[in-house]
Amino acid sequence: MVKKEIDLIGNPNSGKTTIFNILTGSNAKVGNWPGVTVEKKEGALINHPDFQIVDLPGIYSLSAYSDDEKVAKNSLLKKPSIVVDILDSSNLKRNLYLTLQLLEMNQNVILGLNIMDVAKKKYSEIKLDVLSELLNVPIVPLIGQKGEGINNLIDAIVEYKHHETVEFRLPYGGELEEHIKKIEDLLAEKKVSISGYTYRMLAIQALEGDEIVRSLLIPYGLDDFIQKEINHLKSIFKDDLEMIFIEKRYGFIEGLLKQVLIRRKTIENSLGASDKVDKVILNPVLGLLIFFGVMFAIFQVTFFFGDYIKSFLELIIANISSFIGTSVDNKILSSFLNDGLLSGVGTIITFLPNLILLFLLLTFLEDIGYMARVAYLIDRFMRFFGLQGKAFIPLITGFGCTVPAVMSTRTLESKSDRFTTIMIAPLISCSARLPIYILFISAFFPNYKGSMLFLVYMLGIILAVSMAKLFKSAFFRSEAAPFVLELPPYRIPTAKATFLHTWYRVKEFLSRASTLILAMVIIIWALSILPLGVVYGSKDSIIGIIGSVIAPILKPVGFGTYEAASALISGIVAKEVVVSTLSTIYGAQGGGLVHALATQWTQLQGFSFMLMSAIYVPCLATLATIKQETKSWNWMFFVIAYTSALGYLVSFIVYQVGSLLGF
Amino acid sequence: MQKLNINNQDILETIYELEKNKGKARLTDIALKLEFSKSRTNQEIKKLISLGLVNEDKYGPIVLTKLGIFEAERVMFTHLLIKTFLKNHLMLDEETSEKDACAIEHIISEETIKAIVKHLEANLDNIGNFNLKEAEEYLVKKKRLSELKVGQKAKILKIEGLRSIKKRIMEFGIIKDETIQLIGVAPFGDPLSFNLNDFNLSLRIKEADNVIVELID
Repeated sequence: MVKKEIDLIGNPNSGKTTIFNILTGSNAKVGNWPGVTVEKKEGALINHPDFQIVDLPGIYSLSAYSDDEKVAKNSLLKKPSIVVDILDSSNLKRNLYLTLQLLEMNQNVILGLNIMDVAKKKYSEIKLDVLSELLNVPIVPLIGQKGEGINNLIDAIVEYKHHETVEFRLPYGGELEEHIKKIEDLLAEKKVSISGYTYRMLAIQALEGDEIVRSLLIPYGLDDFIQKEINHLKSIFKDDLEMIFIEKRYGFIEGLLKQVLIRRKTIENSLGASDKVDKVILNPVLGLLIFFGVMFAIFQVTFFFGDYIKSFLELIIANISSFIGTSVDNKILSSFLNDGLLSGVGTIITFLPNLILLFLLLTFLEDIGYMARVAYLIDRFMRFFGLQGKAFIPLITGFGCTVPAVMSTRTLESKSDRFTTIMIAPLISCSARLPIYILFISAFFPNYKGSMLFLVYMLGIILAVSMAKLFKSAFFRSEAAPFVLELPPYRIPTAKATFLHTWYRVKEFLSRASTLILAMVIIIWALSILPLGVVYGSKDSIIGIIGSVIAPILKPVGFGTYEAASALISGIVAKEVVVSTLSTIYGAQGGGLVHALATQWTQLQGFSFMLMSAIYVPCLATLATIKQETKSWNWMFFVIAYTSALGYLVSFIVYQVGSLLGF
Repeated sequence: MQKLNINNQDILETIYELEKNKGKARLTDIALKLEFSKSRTNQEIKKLISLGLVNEDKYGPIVLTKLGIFEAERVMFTHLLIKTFLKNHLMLDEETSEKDACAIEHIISEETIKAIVKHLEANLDNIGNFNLKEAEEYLVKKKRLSELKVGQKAKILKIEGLRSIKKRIMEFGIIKDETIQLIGVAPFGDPLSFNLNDFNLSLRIKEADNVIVELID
């Protein structure tokens, strides 16, 4: 059975995702669009499995500047069966701009006018029938949050009649219209045929200077003619033509809305609530304080509750482990199950609770509308380091785990911002590095636990922002990306929606990182137990041999021993494996390991090692994600190279200066 | 807006005059007129380029952008107002009027400009190419979007600047004749938040610089 494709499109903050979740009954498949890393969600329409709903990225226009817009445009050019355009009815003017572009693409459009409850407070009347008639499209009023109108929308989709639709022709008037017509006629005369495009679309987009369309028309020998037309019109309007088209479209919308909307004389108080909240939240002083408070709260909740759940899960694993130890006789099998499989699962579990909580809180803040405010508040500050406000969110996520941090850079439109953020994300200490810090701080700085921990985290942040500044000026100097950010009205998301969004993110993380981590832990296990017969992880095992080879290189930084080298190598798999490797090598755990380190290492060596483990090569899951997000091995190898060099440098300085000072 | 200093304004003024009188402005002419060294003039021009006020083709003349013309005309107009006032009403000689106008033009307040205009209007219609009736509109009401004070509303007149940025902000609904209000300034003075139609948005000063608006009382 060939499924009918229904594309769901709309502005960001139009409530599109909620509608999508209801339409698909939250059974969406999350993946990527081919070629780019824009998230692709699709799922079957509930009770109508022959309709496949594809969630296009939330965009304001189809200009094809950003990846999001390119994805949407390409999908639309393949002419989906129906396009459902979700609009924020309380902000129709801007939302209708995208609608006009869809209609000009000759799509089969259904308009879902969402957030009608807020719109009704603003307008005493919204003449949907008039709008429907003027645009010649079916319209369904919706209140997505309450699920109102969804059944009507489903009916509209299922019953949509693909009759010979009259082409929507936005009247541009006068000179402009004349020349569009002239090009249209010429295209017809030359029998131009480009799939997905009508003559009018081609004519308009060619005049707008759309490079794709221009290049499509070159084989027909029309480029010179079009350039002449553009020059002629430009001299009349004294402006770039695309600007004229934008103005004309907005003019048309203005005309539409005059016939459709009747604004209330006095707007209800509840509408101003969002602005009132912003008076506090966006206040330069109070806003910053609240921001720091919120971030502090996120950390407290994440780590306090996260650790609580974690220790519970670890208890379960420990029990399974001892059960395997007593009931499995075969030594290799038992070692595989315990040291390989279970420790792999344990590794994931050590940070999964933290991560889920972090995702949950960040998703909630995003859904409520706070994250846009954070980007606004912090933008100037971030610019000191060559970044922009939106880059803050990936970095915050990085305290949980670098993998989702790298993934969440997708919200950054400009390539230079995005890549710079990806490059520095590994320097923000993730939660998997915490066990290392705790071990070394307990061993060497038992009296300064809090401040030492703070110091390591701060070092990461300082290195990250300095590197950002460096990379930005070294690699991406000349790009000027506009910072246009909507500050949407605050909306309380439903619990279901927040959990669902969180679940999608966790699912994506798990499918990406966990299999890899598991595989790598097993490989390290194999390296530790081979050649057969050696003591697990000892100097004679493969990992011990590799460690011994590398150890001399690490001498100048203070820990040129095979133990330290092996621990660092295994830490590339996942950071907290450093701790388990050390515990294997020293044959001690918990307090025993702390004692072993405290007696066999000097304080300076321990400190130097801790800094190295905070900075050097990120874990494999992160590296794999960086490769995937940058679509380049080079960037991945660059990260490996610069983090190793930076870690070495910092440890070298600390150890050498420390030695000179007599520590 | 990133505040223009005296040198920036003087150079804009000079380019404006050279373009008007000689048809084009060359670096050497600018340097000569302002008695700056060539390398210093070059540096100053670079700064104006980064502010989007002038363009320079390689080895070609220096050309004011539309924003540059806007800024230059503001300074020129103010200059002429002050000079005419000093000369006609305070009876100062040409040289002194010119010299003092050059200094005063950079620091004069909107209130004083309004008062001078009122005073001059009694006897004059035009000074230079400028119509006195347009003085208040031009010097007090017409601003860049980034120059609004919190709470002020304005009508959008024109969007200038780089094509990609211009298109982005226009598609967002920042277009001619719309009313926009500055509702807040972020910590450290940038970005700015605005209300437009039915929604709020944030722009950096650098982008808001490209939008020319007219204050609404």
